[in-house]
Amino acid sequence: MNKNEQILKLLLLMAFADKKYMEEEKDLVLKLSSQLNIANEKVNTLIDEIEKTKDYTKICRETCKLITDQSDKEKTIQLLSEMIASDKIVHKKELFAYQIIAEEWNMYRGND
Amino acid sequence: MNLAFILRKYRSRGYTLEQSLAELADNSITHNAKNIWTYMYWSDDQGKDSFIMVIDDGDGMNKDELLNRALNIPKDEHVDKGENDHSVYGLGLKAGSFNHCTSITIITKKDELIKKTLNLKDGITDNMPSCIEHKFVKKHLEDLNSRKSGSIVLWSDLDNLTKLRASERGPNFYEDCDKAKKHFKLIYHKYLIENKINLFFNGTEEVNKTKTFDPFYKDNSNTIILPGSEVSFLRGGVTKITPYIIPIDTTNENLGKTKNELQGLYFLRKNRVIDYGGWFGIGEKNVDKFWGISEKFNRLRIEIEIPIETSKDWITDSKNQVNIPGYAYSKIRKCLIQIRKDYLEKINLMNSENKQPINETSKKKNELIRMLRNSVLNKEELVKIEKSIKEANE
Repeated sequence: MNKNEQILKLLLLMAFADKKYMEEEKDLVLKLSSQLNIANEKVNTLIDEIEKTKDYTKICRETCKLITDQSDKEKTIQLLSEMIASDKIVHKKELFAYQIIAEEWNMYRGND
Repeated sequence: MNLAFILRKYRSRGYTLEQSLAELADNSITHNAKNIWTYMYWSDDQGKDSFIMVIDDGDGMNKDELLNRALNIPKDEHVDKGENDHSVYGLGLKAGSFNHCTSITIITKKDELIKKTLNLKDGITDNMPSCIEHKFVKKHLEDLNSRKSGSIVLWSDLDNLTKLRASERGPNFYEDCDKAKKHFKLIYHKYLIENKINLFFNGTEEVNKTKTFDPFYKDNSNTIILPGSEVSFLRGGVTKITPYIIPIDTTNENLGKTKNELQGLYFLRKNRVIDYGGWFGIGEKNVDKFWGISEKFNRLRIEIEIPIETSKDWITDSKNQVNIPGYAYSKIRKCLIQIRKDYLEKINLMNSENKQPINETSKKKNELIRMLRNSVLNKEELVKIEKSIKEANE
């Protein structure tokens, strides 16, 4: 899997974090997959894989570890925030997924 | 009777996670640590490989201290070792930790580096948990190797934190981490203000460091110190009572409690807050009703030093709650009645802008008065005034 596919996988994990794949999220995934040059077939394969997963936290952490370049991490963090906001509702599980991704990349700071 | 069997009996001492973590931090401070790092890591949906770790750069332990005190039930009464010794019963590490996990691993360095695990199945063993390979643990292990001394306490198999939570386990775990941070900010506020310790959460950088905070706002020019007193007891010990009227504007406390809940008594032992907020079952004489928390007294915070000699009379064995002993109750109440009276007198004497207790409506009102007094209003202020008039008419 190339790095763009890894990024898209994280975005899909975020989209599925609340267990509902909303229309707005689908639209954003399609838009971003085309920007990242990923074919629709590959997008569907990733969706199948994510739907079958039994452990979102683990797969999130494992996928994060495969993205090592700092600029890719920064780009992904930005895209993830777009994904969270796409259906205009912020879910607790989305925030949690966002937090653990940022934590893996040492980009998370808690409240004080 | 074997150790694991006895420790299983200590599993439900009523510790919250932040109170248990404070037991570990207390140990670090007792052993002269300057820096304490806390990590909470949620690994997977079920939290199976999750861990919590507290690291310090204190004195560390030798084999005897580790095996016969830290990881065992002390055979002798605890002997107080001075102003930073926060141990009371010598059970905090075990009782606090096993409230949440089934395995404690300690890696410590004094003369040499020693690693041991105490779990509820086998007692003390050389077996290490799998999370010892995690990058956070490895990094601190390397740091400890390069330092003169220090300790790492690692909790694994967090059964009570994972199994007892039906859903949203991961997100709640991190909320608990934020709670612990807020708890530390308050209970160790004196240590932080005096720069005696640094507390870090989930990282080692400046941004991970807990900021200083003073619940009594002693350095704020709007704080008023009311007359306090020293109360001595026939059973021994003297307690110092110092009341403060805190400023109206304390908007950014971020302690997870309301201003009303934060009024009242703050019990400290050796500069560490043990219990705080509210009136601890005290009320007027010969009346069955206790003082409740109320808006009227929400600027009154009272610092009470627990006498060291008799602190076991005041503190529960899990060291997270204060019960005022019967012999001290009436003297403390008498003193508090006077303080509450002084507070109300002082509040009434203050000018109209500052006299009200902290209340959202009065805060808004004061802001509007301030804006209207200002002859040149900016656009933002005009919008605010317009909004307030609309709200009032609705």
